[in-house]
Amino acid sequence: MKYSKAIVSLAFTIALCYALNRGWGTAPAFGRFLSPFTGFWVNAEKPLSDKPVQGSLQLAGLQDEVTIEYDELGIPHIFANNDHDLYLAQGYVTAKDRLWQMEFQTHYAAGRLTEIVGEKALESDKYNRRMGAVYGAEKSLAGMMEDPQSKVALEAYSEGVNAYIDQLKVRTLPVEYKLLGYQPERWTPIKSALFLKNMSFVLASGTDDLRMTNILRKYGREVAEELFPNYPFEESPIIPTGTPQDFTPLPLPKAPADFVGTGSMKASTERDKGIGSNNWAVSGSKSASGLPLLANDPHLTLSLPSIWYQMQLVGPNVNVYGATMPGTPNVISGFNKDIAWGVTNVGADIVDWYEVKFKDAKMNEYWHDGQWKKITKRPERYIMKNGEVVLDTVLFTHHGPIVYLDNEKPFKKNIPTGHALRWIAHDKSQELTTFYQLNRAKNYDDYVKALSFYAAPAQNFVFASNQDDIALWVNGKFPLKAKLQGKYILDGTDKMADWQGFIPHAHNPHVKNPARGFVSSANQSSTDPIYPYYINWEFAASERGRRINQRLEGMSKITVDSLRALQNDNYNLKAAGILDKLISLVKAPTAKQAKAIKVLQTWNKQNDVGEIAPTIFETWSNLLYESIWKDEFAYDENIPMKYPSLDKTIQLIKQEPTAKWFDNVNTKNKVETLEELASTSLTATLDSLAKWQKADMGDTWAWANYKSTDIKHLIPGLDAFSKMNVKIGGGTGIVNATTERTGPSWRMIIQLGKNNAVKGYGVIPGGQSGNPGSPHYDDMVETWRQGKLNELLFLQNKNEKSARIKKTIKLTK
Amino acid sequence: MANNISTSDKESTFLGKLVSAFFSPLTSIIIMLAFVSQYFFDWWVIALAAFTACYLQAKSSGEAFRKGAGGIAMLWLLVTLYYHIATDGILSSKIASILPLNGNAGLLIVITVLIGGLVGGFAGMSGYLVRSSLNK
Repeated sequence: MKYSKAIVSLAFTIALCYALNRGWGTAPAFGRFLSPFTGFWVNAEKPLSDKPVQGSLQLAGLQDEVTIEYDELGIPHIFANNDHDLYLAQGYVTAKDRLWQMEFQTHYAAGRLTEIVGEKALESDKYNRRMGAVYGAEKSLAGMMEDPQSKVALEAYSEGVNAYIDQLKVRTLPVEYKLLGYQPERWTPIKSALFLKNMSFVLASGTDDLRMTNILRKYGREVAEELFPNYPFEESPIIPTGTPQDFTPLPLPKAPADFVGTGSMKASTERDKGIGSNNWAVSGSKSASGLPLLANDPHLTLSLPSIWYQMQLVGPNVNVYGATMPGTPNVISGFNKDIAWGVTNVGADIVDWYEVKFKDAKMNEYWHDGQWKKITKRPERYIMKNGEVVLDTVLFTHHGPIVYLDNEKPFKKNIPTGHALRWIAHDKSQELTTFYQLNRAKNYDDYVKALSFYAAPAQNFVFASNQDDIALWVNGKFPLKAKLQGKYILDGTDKMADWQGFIPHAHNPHVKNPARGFVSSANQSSTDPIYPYYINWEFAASERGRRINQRLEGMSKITVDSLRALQNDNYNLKAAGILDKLISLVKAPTAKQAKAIKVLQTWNKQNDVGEIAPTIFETWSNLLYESIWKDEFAYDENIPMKYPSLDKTIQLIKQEPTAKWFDNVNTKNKVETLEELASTSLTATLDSLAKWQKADMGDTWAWANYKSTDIKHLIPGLDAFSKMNVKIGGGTGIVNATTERTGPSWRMIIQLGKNNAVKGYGVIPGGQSGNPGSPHYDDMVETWRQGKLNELLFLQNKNEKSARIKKTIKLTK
Repeated sequence: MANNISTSDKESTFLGKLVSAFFSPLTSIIIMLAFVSQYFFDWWVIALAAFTACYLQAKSSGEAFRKGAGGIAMLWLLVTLYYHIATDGILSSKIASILPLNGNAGLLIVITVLIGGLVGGFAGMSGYLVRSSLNK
């Protein structure tokens, strides 16, 4: 009797502990998670105190002493006596603030999310690996390890991350590990390479080849080329027209024979609007100080923890400040005492698809250049959260991976099945060398040399120095192709359709000290059509670029503040160009329409927070665009196509208002006119907005309400760790490119100066800490929202005192 | 600390009885044991702490349950409150939104304390029952 009571009680206690010690579905292990000794409680941090604190810490692997000073925003300033210690400390402090994010993002890049979240991530993981993310990272790591300096940086960075992981206990694990119930694994250089590769995924994996081939098949080459022209109607190219060419171009390869691919009867995700960036530099002749100023704001998906991590790195021959990417050594966009640089994306055509002809169903050989060639196979293993293993094999031709076979359903609908992918991100590369050297560059020549190592994702590197040089290089490794080669799907059997080498680095589009006194880029066309090589047939819409160039043209005595105003410019150039025309198309407005038109006519064209006109204009122009093209180019599950660009549409509206494209081909015996479409789409706009707010036109239609910008945590659905509905103006095609989910992820303005007089200003839409329980998790969001910048604390050396330093840690070996 | 509460409250009738039902020298031992051991071991060491203390000291299974539950609940309440107050609830309110508690951090504290108390109570009772089954 006594035994049985004891056994029952003991068994129940053990069962209770067991049940509380394991996760249930998506729920965490409640015992461990809620315990105030091991659970999330421990991750909460106290409010900041104003009293500076000092500390010291032993760190295995250091060769000498390192000092880390944190300022009031939690930004570390690292002082080391050699490169090894500098990058070890960078790895250590980054992991201390961002370990979970670093590991989660590299697991994503490596196609290993199933290990954290289980089978629901399998298709996304397969997509990443089949596109060759790991294959590319392995090659790129091999390239980076060939440079001794990159090797030291990568290995020391890993040591630093691991030194932090080694200090972790169950109770000090970042809260996301506790929530999802797993543990960090050791960091290795391949993870840094995976992170860099993932930037190619984010910025340079967009591809329209399949959609364009489907259009080619349906409408023929003439219509395809007319509606999808190779240079925009309105443009202000990055390299100004008339920039002298300082190289003798190579002859272009002979164009491959015309080829109409079978396209795809399967399988669209549009490229994210708003992924793009702005940067510019103005020369001393246009500035109040007499020396250049430089500005950069890369637009990416707004997320928490923040994409960027600010840092100052000081060591022998280097003192650099800027935005770093958690997961890779060096500063990516920043400045030192002599120079400043920043990046925007180049939408180059570096993704091409080759239709594969297999010998037979065994798929061991494919036809190319008049012979059967061997397919190589790469096995892939996916491990589920529960330990189950899924095996997969990826087939490769000499071009690259056959991402999906004909009987498979692509994860993204712009990926053709049965085609091999040729992507620059698969090539050996040395991006880290570029950043290592840029961090230490003293002048224009150093900058150009640093850029020559860079491959992908191609970036517009803007530059300014205190020698009053400004420059911009459209920089990356670009394949040497025939004009338009790769606009459509290519013939995988034709040797002439292969990439025939690369454009020499010195021939990349570039400009130094142009007469107009400024350089800029906003992802628009790299050059005008006179440039001898083919980079791409389409780029991001030109509005941001045109607006920036217009404004800079008119500015003089430029200061940090006037450039800050330009970064926050909400002027809607698209509306300025087309709104009056649209209004004139509504010939006999109804009472409701007339009221809306009045609001539109009195609008100052600013996409400001409280305005209702931008809500009406953006909805109207989208619905009109949709009604013009939907009937002919509708997205179809089986035959994905794309709509002609907005630029082309505006050209048609202005110059060919009776074009046949305005007719709705689905209505028999009736020919719709542009006027009718304009009127019906305006009515539809007002109806849908009234339905959305359950109220007629009024304050609730305010632009910020409509746009509703969210800065979301990387784990979907964790709204409590996110900043939802941030009230901020701007939008797609606006210099302040803040859309629903994307926007300026780092804003920086640098005023160059001689003798250490350089001044930097910057902000990120988040904070330095990745811990949702830290006051530094999102303490810069409000500054960012208001369009303000923090003055960046640029210390000359470790002996410089500043009242802004709140915490000092001495790391000893 | 808990010991002090129980002695000073002995005067009042109902509350005094209630408090002394849950708190006594045995409770202090459990709290001390659990407090120290949780810095070295995982969360479930609270069960071992309550088990061991009650194995050695409890006089009935009812007392063992109450003191086990009271000790761990008290310890967890104090530590939880410390974090919640010292950090202005920066994380507790967020977690209370992720768990289906409508952002109510108070409720989250109650649930935390209940879970700790439940484990402490059953572990304590098991400690007493195991001892008494071994002693004959």
